Amino acid sequence: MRRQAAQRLVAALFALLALLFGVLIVSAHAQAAAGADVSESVPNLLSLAGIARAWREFWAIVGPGGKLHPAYFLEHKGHLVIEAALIVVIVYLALQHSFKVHPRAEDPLTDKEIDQLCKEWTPEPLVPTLPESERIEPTVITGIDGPYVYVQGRKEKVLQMAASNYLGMAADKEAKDVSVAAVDKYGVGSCGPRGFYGTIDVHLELEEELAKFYGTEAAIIYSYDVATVASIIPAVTNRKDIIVCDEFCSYAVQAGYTVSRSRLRTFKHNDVADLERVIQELEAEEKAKRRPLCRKLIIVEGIYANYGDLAPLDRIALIKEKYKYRLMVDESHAFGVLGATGRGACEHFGLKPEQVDIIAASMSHAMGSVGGFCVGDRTIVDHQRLSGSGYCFSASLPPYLAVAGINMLRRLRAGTTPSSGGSSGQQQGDKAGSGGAGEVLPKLHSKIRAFRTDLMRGVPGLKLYGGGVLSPVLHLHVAKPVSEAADTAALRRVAELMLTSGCGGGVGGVLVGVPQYASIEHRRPPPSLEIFVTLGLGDKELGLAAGALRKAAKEVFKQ
Amino acid sequence: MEDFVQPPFLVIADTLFVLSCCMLFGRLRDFVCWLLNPFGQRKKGKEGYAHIRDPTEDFYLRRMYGRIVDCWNRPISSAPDAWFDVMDRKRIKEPSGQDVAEIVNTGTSTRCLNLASYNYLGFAASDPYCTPQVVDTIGQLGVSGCSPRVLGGTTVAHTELEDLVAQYLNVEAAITYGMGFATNSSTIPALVGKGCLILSDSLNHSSIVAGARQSGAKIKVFRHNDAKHLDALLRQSIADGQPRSHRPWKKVLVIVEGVYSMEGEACNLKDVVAVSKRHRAYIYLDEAHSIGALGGTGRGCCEHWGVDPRDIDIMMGTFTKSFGSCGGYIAGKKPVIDFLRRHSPAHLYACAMAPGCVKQVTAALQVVMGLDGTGRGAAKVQQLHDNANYTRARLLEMGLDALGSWDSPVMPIMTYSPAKMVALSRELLQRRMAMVIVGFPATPLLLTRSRICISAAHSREDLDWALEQLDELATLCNLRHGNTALKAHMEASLKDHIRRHFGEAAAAAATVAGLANGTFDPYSYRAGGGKKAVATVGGKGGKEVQEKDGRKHGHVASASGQQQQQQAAGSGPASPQAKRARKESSGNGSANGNGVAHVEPAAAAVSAPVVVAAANGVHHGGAITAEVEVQMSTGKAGSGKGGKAAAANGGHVRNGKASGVVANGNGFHRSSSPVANGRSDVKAYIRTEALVS
Repeated sequence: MRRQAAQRLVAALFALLALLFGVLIVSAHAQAAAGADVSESVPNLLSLAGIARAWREFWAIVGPGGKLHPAYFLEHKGHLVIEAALIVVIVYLALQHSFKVHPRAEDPLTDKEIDQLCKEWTPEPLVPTLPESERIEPTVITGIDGPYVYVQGRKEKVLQMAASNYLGMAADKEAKDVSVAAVDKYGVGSCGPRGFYGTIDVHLELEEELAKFYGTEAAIIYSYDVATVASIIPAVTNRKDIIVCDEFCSYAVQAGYTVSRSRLRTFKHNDVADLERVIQELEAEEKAKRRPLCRKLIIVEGIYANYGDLAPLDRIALIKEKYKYRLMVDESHAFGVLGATGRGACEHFGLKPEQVDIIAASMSHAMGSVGGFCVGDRTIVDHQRLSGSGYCFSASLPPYLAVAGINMLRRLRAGTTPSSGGSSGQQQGDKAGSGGAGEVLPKLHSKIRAFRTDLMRGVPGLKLYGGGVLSPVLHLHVAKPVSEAADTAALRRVAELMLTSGCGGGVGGVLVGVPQYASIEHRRPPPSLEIFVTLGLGDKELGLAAGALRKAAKEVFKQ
Repeated sequence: MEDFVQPPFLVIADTLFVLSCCMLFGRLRDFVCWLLNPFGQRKKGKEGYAHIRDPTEDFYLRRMYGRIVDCWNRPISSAPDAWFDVMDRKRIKEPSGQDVAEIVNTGTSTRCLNLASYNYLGFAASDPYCTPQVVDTIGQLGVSGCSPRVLGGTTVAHTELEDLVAQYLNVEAAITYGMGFATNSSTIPALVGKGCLILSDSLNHSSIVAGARQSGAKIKVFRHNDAKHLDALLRQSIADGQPRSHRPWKKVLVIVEGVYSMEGEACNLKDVVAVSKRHRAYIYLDEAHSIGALGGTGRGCCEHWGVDPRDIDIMMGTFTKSFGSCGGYIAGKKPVIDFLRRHSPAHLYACAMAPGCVKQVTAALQVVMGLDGTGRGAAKVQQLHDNANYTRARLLEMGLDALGSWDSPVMPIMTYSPAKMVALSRELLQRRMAMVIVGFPATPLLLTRSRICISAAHSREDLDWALEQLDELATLCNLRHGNTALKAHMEASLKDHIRRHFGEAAAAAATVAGLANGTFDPYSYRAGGGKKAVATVGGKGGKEVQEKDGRKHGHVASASGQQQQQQAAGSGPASPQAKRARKESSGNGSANGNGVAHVEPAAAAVSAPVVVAAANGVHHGGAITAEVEVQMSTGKAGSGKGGKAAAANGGHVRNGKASGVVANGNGFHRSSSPVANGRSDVKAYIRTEALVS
């Protein structure tokens, strides 16, 4: 403020000086002009002639050529006065803006002030205190036996319905045997990223098998499921590009588009009309702003992990073709489950592999391994080998997990996946029926349908999301939601009761999960009870599970 | 460190000339191609779709990377142990300018010395203690959990590992994840968000960058390993508050790495911690490369510098490197870990770490901690440090620009020119050595390098042989830059390092040359030490495994002999047997069948004693079972070579510029001179660009 006042003062002084200067010049000229007329007598202003003479004399001074005429004034340095006045005006106007706050750089804080500020600053604690209700200890598994697991603190085995081991490959004897052989040969870890001698022959073999399985040009594997989609998206789009994404997409997709910093639009869940509206808007905007052609991507999930329903891929594919967008499908839960040969939701909806540009999936569900993969044409796959951060900068998949993946693909093709069993005595690796995936998958499908139909007949206080869709992921929501916390607590209680109250037949209970969602999720799904239907569960097990669920739900929701 | 690695003027001129030729002719050829066939390009992509690669990237790929694509992604067909089988490849199509060179596997493989894998403690191959446990776990818990940790993926193996990690690091609690990359990229966004500030080292790993970007926090980058710059940035940032709103920051997170993977340099942790504590910023320490590798008992960067791990708010590390498995951990105070269990995306949504991998880490950790009842783990850590320091000293003596801190297993050798880098890589493979090369864009354009990763599994013969080969190649590729500034810096930092770990008397005697030719042995200065060594009892499966290994992979006599000897030194039953094994190996060594005479009896004698000082200054578990005096025979094999290297070094006198830098930097640690700072600014800027763009 003081600075501002000083500026004002200086400006005022300037103006005063200029004025003084002008007055001095004018008066000097006036004196000079007056001095010439001193000898003559003063005209008599009372007579007419006197008036006329006075006028003439006056005009001689003021009129053209006269010493007080503006032209004379200008010719004899008078312009300086005007210029000075103009400068004063300019300076004044320039100073009018001085009320704006100046950036710090002009008025830097002193070291002392910075010290003081640093001292005053108190950070928030690194993490907020977690309410007691959110501190949940997960069930600890101590052993696995086909579709059953043993859990800590329980003697009887319980039904595992909290793991997406759809084809039973994770607990299968042959899968275990090949894994053990691979551990003997290769050790456990690969000790390096793919580029730096971390590529092991089995990685290449798995990629080949995957490409063959999908009938695409190439495939690429990642070492972790959440890193797969989250790496692919930033590899194929950046801030100039467009992503159109279903609003119910899971965290991996959200992480991917956040890192890519692309222009993001979401459309209403499974609403193809809304997708088209969003794309039309985008196209209009592109046209209006005359932007150059950019990469455009539609992202959907084959089976939505957090809801358990299917994306209408057939109709989405039409839109994609129409507007020339690339389509990326996260097939994590659909791979190895849907379609006649297990290629996932794309096959289920009759899409050819070349109609979908990027198919990504996790290997930790039906494949019974860990990691993720992406199949597509060579350009897209090769591009990821240089730009996929989760591929380039992370150690490659442990070789034995790749071997487990190869084993699963080969057996899925040959139809020798661990067949569904009865209640006990699982016929592990039943090689009798070698009719390809054509025999295994319909069995799984019929189980999914049967269980879903059973639950659709009604579970007290709960409702099944998605109804009878062919999806092995079942999300049961609270029929009359109260609040997120209350619903979650109720569902947890249901899960706990299912696990602890035995359901007869030597089965101690059913292990199901209540998914939790992180606070950083852009859109948290409603609380749900998540149940996975797997091939290993026989009719008896499914019946037991449904029974246990009804019993527990009835007790919790007291209908 | 980068203050000392300035490429000589001629190398800069040469590199820029070559690159601009590549660019110019590439563009010219593209133009001509377009003239000849204006519609050809469009056919490549689908009509109406933008090309998946952007044009600059595409050009770089086709015209530059396409020529040298064979230097990366070399597949292997065995465990990444000290020696491994690199699959032979053949170029079937030369790069056409439209596509990269096409390479196929020929189906055969060559046994190469592994100087590339992050197998720091040698747990990559099957291990007599770890592997049986892994096999049992796969049998008991299956191949995979197929479920996130919070649903049905938590097994006893996971809880056991988490407890053990916390115990190992001496912190309250730990949480594990299935992938190191995801550990960083999902934990950082869970901890900080909008209104928070992240101060990140300019050379931090891509996973940290990904995590920081996801978090939505403001990211500022400080000069690599420069605590002063960090301090200045912190002060200014806290004083200024958030940009635009000028509200105070919610929290400030300083992210550093224990050992930087492309520099081999240990974090200047003590100063970073002091600065961060002073300003109440939280510290996130990524120990991906330092856990298991640094510190007397392998407890990482904190132990290396003598920092209390409880001063570090978040300790992150991976199991991929030292423990030969996969995955990562976050360790710290209990409330933090509890919060992450509830809110960390990788814990909630990602499939749990495979039980077999979990068990591998648990078993490896038990070995390192001495819980397996032997001193094998301690011996491994010490072998790693010995190997690393010896190799680094020899490389420096050769006149190569080898970077990195003492004890750190990562040592980049600066090649500066991309052409030399490629030549070196191909020539090394010809000579049956696998080394990593890194160039633009992973490093600045003029700072391309080749990188050695040392393992405890390497025997002294392996290293001697490798160093001999490197010596020849250094002449062939003209890599001896004779960087006196770097040499002086390394000499000073060696003294400092020895002072901290072995005391003043040892520091006075420590020289790089002495370390290289074996005349200086720091362990002889340990209190009560003398040349006391511990050979350990226990690993009875050791011999079986190596025999089996030898049989299975058809080792030539030399390779298996060495392995046996190294095993004997690391885990051998007791001294008589160990000695016998050594004798056998030296006998076998000269009669190797692969035309690589790298095991000489004399050299074998040098490496034979693997010294584990009992009074290591740090606590082992009560695992040491036998102490045996082992004769040290020093300096016979090494000294000749050292002399040769020194002579060669003398021939290459470097221009005066370098010594000027030394004067500025006092030849020690980071310099604060304007010249040096200006340079690192450029680098920091490049990285910053990468971070924010």
